[in-house]
Amino acid sequence: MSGSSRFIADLSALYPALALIGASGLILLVMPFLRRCGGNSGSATISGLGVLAALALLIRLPGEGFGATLFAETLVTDSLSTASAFVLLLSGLLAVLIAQSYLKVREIDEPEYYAILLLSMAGAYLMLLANDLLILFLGLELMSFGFYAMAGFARRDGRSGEAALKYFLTGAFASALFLYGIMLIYGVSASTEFAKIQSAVAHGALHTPMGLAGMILIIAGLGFKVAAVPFHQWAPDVYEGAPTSATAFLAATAKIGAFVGLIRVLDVFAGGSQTLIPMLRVLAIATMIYGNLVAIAQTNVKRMLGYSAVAHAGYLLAAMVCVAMHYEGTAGARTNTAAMSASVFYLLAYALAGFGAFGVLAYLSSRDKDVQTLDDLRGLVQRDAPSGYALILFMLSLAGIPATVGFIGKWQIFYAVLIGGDMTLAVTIALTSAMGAYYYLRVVWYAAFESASGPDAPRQVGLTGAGLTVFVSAFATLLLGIVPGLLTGFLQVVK
Amino acid sequence: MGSAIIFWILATIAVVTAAMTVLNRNPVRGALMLVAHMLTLAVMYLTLSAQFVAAVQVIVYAGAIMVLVLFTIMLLNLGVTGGGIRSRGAGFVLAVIGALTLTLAMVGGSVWRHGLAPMKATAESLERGGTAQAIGYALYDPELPWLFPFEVISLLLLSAIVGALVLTRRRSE
Repeated sequence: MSGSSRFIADLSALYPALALIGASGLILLVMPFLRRCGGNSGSATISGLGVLAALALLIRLPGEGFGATLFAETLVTDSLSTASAFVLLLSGLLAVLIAQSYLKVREIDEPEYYAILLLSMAGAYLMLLANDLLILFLGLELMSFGFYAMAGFARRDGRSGEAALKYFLTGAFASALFLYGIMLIYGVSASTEFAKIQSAVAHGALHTPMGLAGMILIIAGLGFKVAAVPFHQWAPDVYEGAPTSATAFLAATAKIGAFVGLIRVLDVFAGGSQTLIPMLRVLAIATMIYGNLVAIAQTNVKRMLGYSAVAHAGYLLAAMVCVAMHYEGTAGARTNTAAMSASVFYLLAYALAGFGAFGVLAYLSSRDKDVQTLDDLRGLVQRDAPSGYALILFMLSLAGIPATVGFIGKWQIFYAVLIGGDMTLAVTIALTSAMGAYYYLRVVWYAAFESASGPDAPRQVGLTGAGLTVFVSAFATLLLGIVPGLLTGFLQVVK
Repeated sequence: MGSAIIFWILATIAVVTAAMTVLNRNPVRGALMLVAHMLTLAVMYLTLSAQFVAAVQVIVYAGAIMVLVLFTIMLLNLGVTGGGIRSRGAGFVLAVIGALTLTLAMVGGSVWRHGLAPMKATAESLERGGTAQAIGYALYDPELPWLFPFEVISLLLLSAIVGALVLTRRRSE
């Protein structure tokens, strides 16, 4: 097959991403003209259909292409990419639903939001398939550009602009670090391709100061996107200031893209340096402790969920330690499959609970009132029982209480760490989870046992997009919490 | 030998101008030092027979981007923030330590790999040449790993344009 016809053939593995990009282009081209003849629900419809089409195309992807590299070794499709792409597209669907009603209520409903959202998802999708540092970087940037713009979408709200600017400046700095790391790695391996870097690493490339600095900078760049301590400073401000629908989207998507990217990078770097695993372990422990500790003091639920996102990044980093241990060969093959599928399952669990919790906030918001403090949630169960009980469910899931999907996810990571034999990590996970339960349960207390402080602001009622997000997330949280076996076949990540 | 002398001269100029960019309190002078630094880099690329990269370096970085930087400085009307070189405070100490560590890492790495001799253009790169034609062929060859990233960059630019428009546009009401 000639080069150009192979290029065309390789595109078939990217159909899901192309569906997202196509829907985005359609919105940009068509919607500005249709806006005058009433409403903007067309954008939400197009993007919803685009994500559904991407999901359908992902499921129909031919099975025999697994493990194949595409586009001259720059992309790879394997079970990890497919399973995580499934999680990504599922959360993308929830992101479109939540935006559909929230943007309308807050009167910031513009077609560009959906176009940017879809492009950002396509960027995260590329990160899942990356087999080359260049693609990983481009995917990361494509994803982040969308986040910056979406964080600043509520232009009437000063905090939204502040969030966008802070996120952009710190994010650009992190991207520069990441790019610098790529350059240093190129310096010791003369390539950005994972396979070639891996063989250079096997020949001791990471024992040079240059290679070591490159590795640290690349992990720091990815650590920034997932808000690992000490790269977390942006998270609370951005989570609080960004429109709730954007917060929900970036919380889930950044974690999916960056953690799968991290798994790929760890595969390349593992075994090349004695610093790697201790460094990851310190990051994981610091992130778990700091996130949970500071979240306790928060009275703004969005900000609290920002610190909770830091804490959850810590749990996932603990799983990354096991992944790295496996790639180094210091732990059995069982650790690998346990840690890898635990990570993907955890990403799904976190996305469901996150979209659910932010979905409740979005559902309760009205034009003049963006619901986000604990006081706003006072007596929610009496005022609006379904959303109140749903919020309680999501908080329990985030805290990792049994019968929710959050428990299964956390238990799987704990189990992977245990068979990896890392007692310090295991104890930290257990202790910080107990700390975390306090602030999640405080939200439950406010919603269920405090009495309402004043009359409700008028808001949309009935089945809005945010309501649907809450319903779907609640259903999946309970179902997978009780029958986790439903997805184990699909999320089994064997490499 | 001649190329080694040229390299060390250029390297000295590049390091000094880069340091002056960071240390200068006058933003316009800092920006002009950055221009000098970029131009020095362009000459270094030329000595490695990377003509295309050298030209792009002059047009894009020393030209377009630096004009933008100077525009911004003048639009914001930034004055001099005090006399001479900034040299006080713990931040300065930290910055120096960080810069020294990174420098040691870079120098150590390249010495480990190539010895003390300055980098030379390899025979292969000399033969292919750093012309626009050679780079064009490499960039658009589907057998090489550059075509796909190149296409992805177009999406990146689209996303950046739409994002910038959204954030800067005035409200229609």
